Amino acid sequence: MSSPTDPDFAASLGEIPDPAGAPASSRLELRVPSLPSAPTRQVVRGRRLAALIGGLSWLGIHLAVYGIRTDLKGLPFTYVAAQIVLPILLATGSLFVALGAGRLGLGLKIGLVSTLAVLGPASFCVIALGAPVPHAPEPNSLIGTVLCFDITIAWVAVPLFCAAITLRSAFAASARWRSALVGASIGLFAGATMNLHCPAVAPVHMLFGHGLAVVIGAVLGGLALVLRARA
Amino acid sequence: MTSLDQSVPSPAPPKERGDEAQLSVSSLDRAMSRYAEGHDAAFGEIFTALAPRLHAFLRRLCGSQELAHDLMQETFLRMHRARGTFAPGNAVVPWAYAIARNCFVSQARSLKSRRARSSLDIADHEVAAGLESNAEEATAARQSAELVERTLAQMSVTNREAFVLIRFEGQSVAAAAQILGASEGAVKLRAFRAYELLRAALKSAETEGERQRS
Repeated sequence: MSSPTDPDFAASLGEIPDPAGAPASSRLELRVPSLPSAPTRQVVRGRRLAALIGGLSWLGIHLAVYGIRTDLKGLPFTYVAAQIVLPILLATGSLFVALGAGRLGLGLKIGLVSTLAVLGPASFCVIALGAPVPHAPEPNSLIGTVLCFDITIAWVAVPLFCAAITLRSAFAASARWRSALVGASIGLFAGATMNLHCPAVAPVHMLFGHGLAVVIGAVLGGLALVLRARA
Repeated sequence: MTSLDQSVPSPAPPKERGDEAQLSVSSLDRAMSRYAEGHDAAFGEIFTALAPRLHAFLRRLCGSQELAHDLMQETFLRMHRARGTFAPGNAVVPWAYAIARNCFVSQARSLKSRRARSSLDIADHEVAAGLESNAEEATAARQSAELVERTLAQMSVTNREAFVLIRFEGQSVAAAAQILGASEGAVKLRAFRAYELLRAALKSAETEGERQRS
């Protein structure tokens, strides 16, 4: 079986009769129940802005408290670009794509959304494993890796919770992928923040201590956030 | 709080809607925009215009008049909850279809729905056979419609919803793809698969009818 290629595809389906062409009763008795109060557009915008500021502040305050890595100035530009700048750019782009209205107000194309939702976390992990190490890596420490993972997950959790509150019923279509992309975006922000704080360069540490939380952010977005975000 | 209790006429088939409908769709979008900004009074306008279309859409998807009615109510509740997220300047109809489809998918996943589907109320509708003067033609048209409804009920939800949106709801492939959250190619293929199943069922029934007559 091959897919049709003619431009007026709908017309080619025209021979199938409509089973619901005319209901038996020409007038349908339709009744809408009393509706509870629901946030208006202005309220939704205000909440989203507050969540964005709150989420970024959460990361910023923690970074200020924990401090920026001491070896930052000595790192090659490509390393900083790949480990910190690129994730931040991807996170920002992902957030815009996930929340973009698109041509019909139903979001941007699913291909773009799903590709970014996979590509963002995947690129973070691939760079974590594959980027040339700028200096001799420290000996692997399981406790250090778990500690970084715990902190990064905590950095993901709060913005994700904010997103769950503010993105209620936000996605009428492609809700799962768009929610996953929001989760991936939050994960990338948190991962980049951790890369900015933690001086460890060992690939295994980067992958499990920093990158795993990014992947978990995307997965949580696609599995949990979607339950709130689907309209 | 908003409460409405009203009767609305059944919808005209999408293909028969002309420029007037385009204008009313535009004013409907403006009404939705007003509603999203907090003008509760605009809800009546939206409800009156959209309820018949959504009811017909859901009925084609679920095959049951009562279930379609319940799902339509749920759709309006969800639209109300989501009104603040309605993007300004966009069309309300695809947005409403997408929410209605979400309601249907939620329902279809439950065991209750599967039970309901086993007792389709296909007997309570009539085919749009306005010009058919004799009873034989009307009966044949009615049987075709019943067959279409049965075949739609038996096929996968993904194929059914793609076909219904494009064939019966007058949505373009691009719009249907947006509503269903799938690529245009995938939606086209799903609709075409549904079409082939329906065409095969109709052809088989036609052959059987001819065989019985001869």
